[in-house]
Amino acid sequence: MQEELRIVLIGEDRLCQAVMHRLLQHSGRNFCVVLARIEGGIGKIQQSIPKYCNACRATPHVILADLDQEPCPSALLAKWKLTHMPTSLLIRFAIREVEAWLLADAEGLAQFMSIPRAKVPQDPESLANPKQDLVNLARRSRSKRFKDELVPSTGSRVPIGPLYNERLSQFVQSSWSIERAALAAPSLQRAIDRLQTFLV
Amino acid sequence: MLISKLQLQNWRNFKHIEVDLRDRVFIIGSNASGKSNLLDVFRFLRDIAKPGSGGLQGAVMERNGMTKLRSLLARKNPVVSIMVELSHKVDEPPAWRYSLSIKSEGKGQQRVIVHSEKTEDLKNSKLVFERPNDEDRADPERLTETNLEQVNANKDFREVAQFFSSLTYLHLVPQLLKHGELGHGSQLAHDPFGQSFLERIAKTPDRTRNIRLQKIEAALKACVPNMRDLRFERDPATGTPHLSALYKHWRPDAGWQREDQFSDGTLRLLGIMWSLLDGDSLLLLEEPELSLNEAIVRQIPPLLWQMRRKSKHQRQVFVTTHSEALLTHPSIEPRDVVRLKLTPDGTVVDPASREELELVEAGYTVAEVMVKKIDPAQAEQLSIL
Repeated sequence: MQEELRIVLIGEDRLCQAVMHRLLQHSGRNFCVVLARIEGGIGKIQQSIPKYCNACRATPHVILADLDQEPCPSALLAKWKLTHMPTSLLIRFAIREVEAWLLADAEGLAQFMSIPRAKVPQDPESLANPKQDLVNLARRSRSKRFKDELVPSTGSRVPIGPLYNERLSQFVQSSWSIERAALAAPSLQRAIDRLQTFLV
Repeated sequence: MLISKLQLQNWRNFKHIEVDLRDRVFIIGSNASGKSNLLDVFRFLRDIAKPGSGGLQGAVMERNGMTKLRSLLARKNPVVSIMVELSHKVDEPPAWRYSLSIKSEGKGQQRVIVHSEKTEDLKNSKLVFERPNDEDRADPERLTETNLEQVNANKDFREVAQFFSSLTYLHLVPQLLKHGELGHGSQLAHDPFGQSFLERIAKTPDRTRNIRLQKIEAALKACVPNMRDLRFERDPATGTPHLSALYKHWRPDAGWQREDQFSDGTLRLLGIMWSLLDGDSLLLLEEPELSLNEAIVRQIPPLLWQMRRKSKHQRQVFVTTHSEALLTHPSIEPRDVVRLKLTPDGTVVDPASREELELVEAGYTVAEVMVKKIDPAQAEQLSIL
């Protein structure tokens, strides 16, 4: 058995947290999450960067956030004044949002959401707003219950429905195929590769 | 004085725990993990020690008998044991150790009897007494009472008995205070829900009361900014005690309100602050965050600290809480927190791990590190039924 690697896992939101948990299991390395935190927004992560840099010397940190509309990760890290990355701190970004990584497993998602596979967009990382696209897909679901859970009610000021995070986290845990998704989402493939070499 | 150590055996859902305590203690843990049962140990000692509340027999009866009191996990050893150590100041070596073990009589009326009782004066390394002694063996009837509850028997450790008998438990329920008719005739002993809060204020000498209300008003300013002139009055017709305050209003004399118009949160804060100023022994607070805005909940730890500083006797405070906001204050350290964890073998105290301590040192708050979210798989089940 490989040596246990005890880490703190930070996710921008609940879905990021669920995705990262799967990736850690999938890595085949013996990761053990001692503390899992959902920060609730990229702003909170930015604020906490000095804390992470300090704390990762005690326990390594793995962070997953959405890149959103930033042009590239290194520009964002520079904006956060994080030019020198500690070796025990790993920050990965999903392009543009972690939902793109879910859309990348078109087959699994189509089945889970009861929609035709052809409706799932081909190149998810090129989408400007994958969350919106995912919700729009849910609108086409043949299951009414699914629609009610994921789609916000008419006139809502928030982009998601009442059980959006819960239902999609369930998808991530139970049927999301990382192998298929990695083929369509290069930023996911890079995150997988980086988890293999982290602190080796 | 303060309680610096507690050890329990077979007490409700605790099979065996031992925990060090400081001048402020935050007790955390999931629902049904035993936070209130932990506080109940101290109330139990108070009920034994307090004159007129029926001693050991009364305290057990109030809890519906031994079967409700002892741990369900205790099969072989049905003795319930409590041990506390008391210090004069925080971080000082303990001055007293009091231990009590009780069990069911095993015959006849199934009364509860003292299995063993002991008081040690640790400062002078002296055993004050140990039971059962020869007299107890000659007259087993004596074992139905503790030395703690008897004025004659506790004179050499009166300090301890008085500490227990004057500790307060407060879980103020604003609705009961506002609608006196609700709880009429059904008030519990020692008024845990603050129904007679106003009478307690009424009994305080005028001068003391006014000074306290001034202190409370000053502290409340931060939380209820538009309230001033907090004062005590009696209804001219009936003599019923009331609290009233002036709320800022565009008509200068129009904003007088009585306690039944205060918000639930204001009343809870009032109750907590009055209790901090009122007594000299341990204060037990059950979920003080209820019905308070999160921004104010965050201010509870500094508020407790300031009120304690302003009071004559700095009471030790135990707080049970579910609120992460309450624990975000950067001055709260892992030593102040007692975290309870459910295991198949009863509830245990789950101390901060080395990693958790390091994370706190690196800048995480106790709330971020020590408040464990319920198991994510479980939470998922809860939200997707």
